[in-house]
Amino acid sequence: MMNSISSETTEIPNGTVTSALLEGRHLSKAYGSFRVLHGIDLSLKRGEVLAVVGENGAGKSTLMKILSGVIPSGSYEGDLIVEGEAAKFSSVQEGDAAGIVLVPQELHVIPHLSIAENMFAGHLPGRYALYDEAKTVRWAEEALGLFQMNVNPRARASTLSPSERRLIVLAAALHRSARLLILDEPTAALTDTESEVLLKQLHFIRNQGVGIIYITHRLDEIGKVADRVLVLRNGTLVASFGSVPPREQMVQAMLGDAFHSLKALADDAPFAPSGSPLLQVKALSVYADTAQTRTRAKDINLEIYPGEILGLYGLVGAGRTELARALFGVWPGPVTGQCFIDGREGIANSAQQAMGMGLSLLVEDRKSQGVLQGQSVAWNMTVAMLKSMTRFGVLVDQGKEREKVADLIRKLGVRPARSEVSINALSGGNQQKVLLGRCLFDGLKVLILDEPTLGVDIGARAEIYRLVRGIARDLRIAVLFISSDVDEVRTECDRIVVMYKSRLQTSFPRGATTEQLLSAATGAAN
Amino acid sequence: MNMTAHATTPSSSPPVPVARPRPLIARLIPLRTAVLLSAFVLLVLYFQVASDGFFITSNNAALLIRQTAVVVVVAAGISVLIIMGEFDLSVGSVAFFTSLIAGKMQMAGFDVASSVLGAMAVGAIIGLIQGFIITRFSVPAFVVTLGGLLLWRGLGLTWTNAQAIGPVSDSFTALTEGRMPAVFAVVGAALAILYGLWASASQYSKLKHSSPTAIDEPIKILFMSLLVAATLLWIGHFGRGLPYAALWIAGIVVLFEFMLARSQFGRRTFLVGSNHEAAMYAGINVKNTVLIGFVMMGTVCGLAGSMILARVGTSTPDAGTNLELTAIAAAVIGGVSLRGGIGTIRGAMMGAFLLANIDNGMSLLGVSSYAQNVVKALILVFAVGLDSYFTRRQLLGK
Repeated sequence: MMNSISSETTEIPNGTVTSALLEGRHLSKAYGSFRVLHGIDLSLKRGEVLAVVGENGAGKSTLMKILSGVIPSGSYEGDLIVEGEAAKFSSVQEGDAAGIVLVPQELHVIPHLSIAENMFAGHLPGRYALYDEAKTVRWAEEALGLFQMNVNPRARASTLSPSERRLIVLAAALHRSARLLILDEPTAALTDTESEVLLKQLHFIRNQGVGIIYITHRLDEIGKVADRVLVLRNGTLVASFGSVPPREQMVQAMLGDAFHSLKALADDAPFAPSGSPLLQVKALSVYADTAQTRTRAKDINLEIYPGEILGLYGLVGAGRTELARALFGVWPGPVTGQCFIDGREGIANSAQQAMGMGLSLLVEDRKSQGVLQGQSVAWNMTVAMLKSMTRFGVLVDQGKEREKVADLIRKLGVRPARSEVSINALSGGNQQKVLLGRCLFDGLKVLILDEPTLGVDIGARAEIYRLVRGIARDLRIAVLFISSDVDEVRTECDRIVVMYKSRLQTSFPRGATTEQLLSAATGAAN
Repeated sequence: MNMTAHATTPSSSPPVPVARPRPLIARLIPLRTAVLLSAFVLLVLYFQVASDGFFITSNNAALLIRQTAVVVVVAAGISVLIIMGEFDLSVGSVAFFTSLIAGKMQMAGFDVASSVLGAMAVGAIIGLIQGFIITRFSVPAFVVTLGGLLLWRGLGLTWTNAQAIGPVSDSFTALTEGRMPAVFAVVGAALAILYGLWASASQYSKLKHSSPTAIDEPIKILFMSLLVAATLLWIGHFGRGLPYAALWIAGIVVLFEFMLARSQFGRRTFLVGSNHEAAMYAGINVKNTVLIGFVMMGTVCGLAGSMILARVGTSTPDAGTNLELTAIAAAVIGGVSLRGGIGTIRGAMMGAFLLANIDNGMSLLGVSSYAQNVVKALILVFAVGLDSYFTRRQLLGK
């Protein structure tokens, strides 16, 4: 099942030898004394889809940057061969000209420019010194025709959905006669339906003879799209599968020794609610405007008992984040209805107020709303509990702070276990643990987690599940677990409510099937 | 809680690079500081030679302190605002306006303390007004304080008809210009050394178990305190004594350093500056923090206005002109990041002294103030450019 890699040339029937579309030999890269890639070999034929998987920090991005020319030739070791000829790209533009196009995870689509301009930005056709708009639009129409996309190239890019944005970038790349597409987490920001559309188009692209390298965290997608799979771990190629193996095998290869601890995560006994609910929401509605016409959440009723984890599942745009922000007091628009926290009524008007009531929120957008860039792990953790560590009312009690931070780092398993390093030096999963620690101030009663495992790799994900379980059960905290990942909602929550178009649908017990949840989330249950 | 039990799970963190600790000297003096320091030393040596040995005299050093005090005080305040991610262009005009208040109060027969406190109170009110508009109506600080730059000078000039106010009494002038008895310098030096010993010892005992480079910070602190003590003794002993301006510098720098390092407000200053949205989500009252910042700035400007009045003896119409630019330049040269979240007050103080040195040295050599601006501009862009260059290189891992 795990083949060794051979840099190969393919025999085709009439005996002539065609070389691979792309071949990398012994690719290595180091940043300073820190080696991130160790002699990777890979090859790809025309019309083949190669999936590359691995945890964050495994070296996937570095490898793709080498293939596409982002990392210029000469600053890495090894050889790159494109259709039999040695390729030495000194910039992305050169890679692009050779037909190798990298579509990054975060697309830089400029919302107020037209779709056509966005598609060909960087390659805009000129007429004398001027920009030839008619030609750009014509190109865009041709390209969009490939995918039978029915959009007006002159319309602003802001009118496109996230999946359409990705498709227009792909279409533009194909139109420039790309031979190899490198897609970095193309479905990360997409809903399941949007992903389906994209995956379908990838089949079409592949059939045109284009090679595709597909990087993803979503292992279930690989079976739908890939021909072969490479697994990277710590910068080394640890497995190469000639066909798509079962999910289990890929996870094992990705995690190595860590795999067995993941397996140890067993379901504990079903949760039996006791006492009175810590969070009780009655007929809560959230609006985006003062006239209360644009509804984001409507007539929400829910209750969570001490120690319970309530899953809130729904597709992007269902109103989950808006509900969370309203409860936490940071929604700018009107909120009506009632909210009781441990029996005390009140809807917070600010984050401070919410925290005073015992409510805490782990934000969805870690980078812009969570992490305090450049500051230490300690400062990032204690920001929400500074008020409980004062001396003379105005000073920070540093002794108390040190103790608290050391305690949290140990309990949460933050690595490296050092309080003074900058939070930027931590991996996504460890940053998330620090932010989770921030939520654990004294007097916490209700913890809202908004997509807690977004952009977190599998190993850290399992740790976060365990921590959440520990927080709920041992500290008797009510947890609202918001997620658009069906699998984690099914296995990590005691009860699941589904949100669809601003309203809550039926609630499900733990272990509800994917189909049940999906049909509720897409409105089919009505 | 039994969360602990799982803390040893094999991690997803990347392998730890085997980094050898760099040599002690390189750790003590970061490259950026080293370059600035050598520029500074070269400059001082050049001035010394070119001025026939007049530049490094205790009298000239005392003059330097008197000239720089106002800039240090304002740079300290503006550093706090910049670390917070805010900005203030009005400080020069506010200092001018408050110097008028102090001058008018002196003329009306108030005593020195009341005049200074009056100027600081008016400064605080101005800061409150500007801060209120910035935080409650969400007008960018740049716009509001640009308005303040025009408004407060315009108001002051209209009020006095652009007449100078003064001269103030000798006791007011003595606020910054007076000389301390020699014993003050000895006491100050002793305090500096004692503080250095205490701070380096406590730093070392805090770090010795967790960090292989625990010795660095204590060495730095000790060295700096010895340097300060030596300077104090030298000026105090050989010249006509330390000017009182030194007391203001020391007071403000120590107070603000302590505030940033130890107080809740100081902590919030850094956190808001790093990411104000995240700070808001973490329960910090960002608007109040910024408001307090501007009130603090106004108060500091009131003090600066009084110090300008004391230095010149009268309140002139051009008092405090370009002070905001000099203070911002000092802060930035001293390592305060315009992106917020990073900076120290002692850095801003060093920046102020570097700029003042250039002023002072070139004036001694008879270089025109126009040409002085050219040199200062080069230093500013060079210092910041160097910083960006090294930060970038570090990020790229080259």
